[in-house]
Amino acid sequence: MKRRNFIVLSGIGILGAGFTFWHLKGNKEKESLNYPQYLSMILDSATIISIGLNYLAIYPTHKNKNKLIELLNGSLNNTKDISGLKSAIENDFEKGNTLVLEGWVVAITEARQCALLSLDK
Amino acid sequence: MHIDTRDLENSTTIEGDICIIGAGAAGLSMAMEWDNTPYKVILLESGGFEYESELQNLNSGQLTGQKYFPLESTRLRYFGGTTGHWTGLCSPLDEVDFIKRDYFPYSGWPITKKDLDPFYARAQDKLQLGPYEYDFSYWKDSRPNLNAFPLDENIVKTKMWQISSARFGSIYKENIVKSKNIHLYTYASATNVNSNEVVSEIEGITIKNHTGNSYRVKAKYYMMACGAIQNARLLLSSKNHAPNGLGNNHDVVGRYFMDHLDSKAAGELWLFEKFKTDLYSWGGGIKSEMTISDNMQSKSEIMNATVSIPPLEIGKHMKPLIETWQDADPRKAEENTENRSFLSKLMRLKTKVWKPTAFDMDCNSEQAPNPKSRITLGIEKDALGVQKPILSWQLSPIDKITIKKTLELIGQQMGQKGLGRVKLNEFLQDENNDSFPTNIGGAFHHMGTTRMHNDPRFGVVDANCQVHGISNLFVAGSGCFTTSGSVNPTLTLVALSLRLSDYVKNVLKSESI
Repeated sequence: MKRRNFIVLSGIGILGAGFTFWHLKGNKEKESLNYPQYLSMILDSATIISIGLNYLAIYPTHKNKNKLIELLNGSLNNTKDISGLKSAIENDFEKGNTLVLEGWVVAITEARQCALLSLDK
Repeated sequence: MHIDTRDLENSTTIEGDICIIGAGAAGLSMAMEWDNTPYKVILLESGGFEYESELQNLNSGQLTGQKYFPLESTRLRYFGGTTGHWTGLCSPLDEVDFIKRDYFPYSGWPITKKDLDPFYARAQDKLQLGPYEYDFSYWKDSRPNLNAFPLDENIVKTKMWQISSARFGSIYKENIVKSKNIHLYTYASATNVNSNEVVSEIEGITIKNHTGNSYRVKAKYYMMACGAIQNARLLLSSKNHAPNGLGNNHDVVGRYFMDHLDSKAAGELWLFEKFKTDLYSWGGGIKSEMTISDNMQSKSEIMNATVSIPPLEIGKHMKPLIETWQDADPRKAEENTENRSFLSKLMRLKTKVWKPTAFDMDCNSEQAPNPKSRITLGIEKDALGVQKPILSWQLSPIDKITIKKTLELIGQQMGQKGLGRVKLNEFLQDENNDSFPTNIGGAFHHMGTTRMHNDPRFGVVDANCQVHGISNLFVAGSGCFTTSGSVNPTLTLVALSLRLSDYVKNVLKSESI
């Protein structure tokens, strides 16, 4: 590869990685079913995806996007109001509905979000 | 009054009303209670007034089981004992620590926290501490910057310590040496406790030193205060009329050795935002850590534990104590840990200035009494002819469950309150693995080897610290702890020793009526 092309492509690669990182970290405003908002404030994408894969290893029958979406909507009492995810996660912790995945003590709701993200990726 | 035993003629007999064996935290706390009383107190100290290798080597022994510190480095063998280099951390046991819990084998003291409270208050004075106040609310009122994480206190609460700078060897030397009725004998190592033929009463103590001479002490009452390992060792070695050692009809002496588990970086705490507080760092004579409430411990079927949170950036440069404290000479071992001490100071400064958001979770946790964790006697003898001790430090599954669940409960609270997330160290992640890695060590808190229990099948001493079956022999110190709790033992062992001292005083008074 020519050196100039290499430099340009590397630059694009770096920007792309940075975009991915930015996409998942510190973006407090973005809420979606497959976006573990809290975890993305402290963890990188690779760890989040590992958590998701870990969850699916424990619950192999959940290895299906529709199934995970159904479970997550269940956490929202089927309101599909994404803003309710925060409360759902906090309720999970209050009730002890937590898992230890990749060592992280996470709410089952956010574990499912990670799982959904891992299927997307 | 002070006598250097080396100056005495061989076979001298020393007589008094009570004999206290050991001038460390327990022995000196008791001795000071007898100053200016009508009783003659014989206070025996194995060493002199300063560190001497020859005496220190009398602590040496063997280790098996979970990795531990070299025995000769874990205690100081001179006047003042291990207060000569301790960190000074003082906190009382919790109420739950005294209670029998079905899920917690061998738990349940024959006394309650309330029984000890008056003596805790007196122990504060002995240790030159402030008032007997350990509720977080008391300290929060006087120091507004002590903000605790807004967690549910019914689940995660704040445990407080006061920090003593008392070096007993310095603060009590003058009183003891000038006392008219306390006779301190230095270079007086107890090598045998001599009972009558039916082993119902002690008739005297044999003491020796490196001159090759031996002497005899006779008193009405004897209180052993040599530390958990040496007390057990001395009882086991005293076999003139008890083939298995004194107080050992049921093979309990030396068993149930406990230390607190020092699990550095048992987990990580990652906050979403900086949290402004001076609470979770040392300063102003106090320190604090997170702990699980008494009720939640019982509900979760775990033991006691406390968690400190040094910043991750600094914590990762601090090696576990079990790795740095491996020199038999405690002075060299301490030098090797100076890096930790420097980093601790740096941590305190950085925490104040920098307000980190990522922390190690260092856990100090209770060890369940385990009869297989024990002191026995080896074949090899020390310079005074006493068999050396062997420590086999053995842990139990509930020890690990406690650490894991404690961190999980904190993690659940952090999550519920939207504060952050907790990560468990790898050794805690496999539920089917009971083992501990070698970088999990003890905390130099020796407990349980002459534990307190009303039933002689499960204890060496009764609720008054009297050795079962022997009318005039008592044991003082943390060796009498039935369970270990999770806090440093010094405040409690001083409180227990003061209680014992009062008991013997009352016995002597009632005899004179």
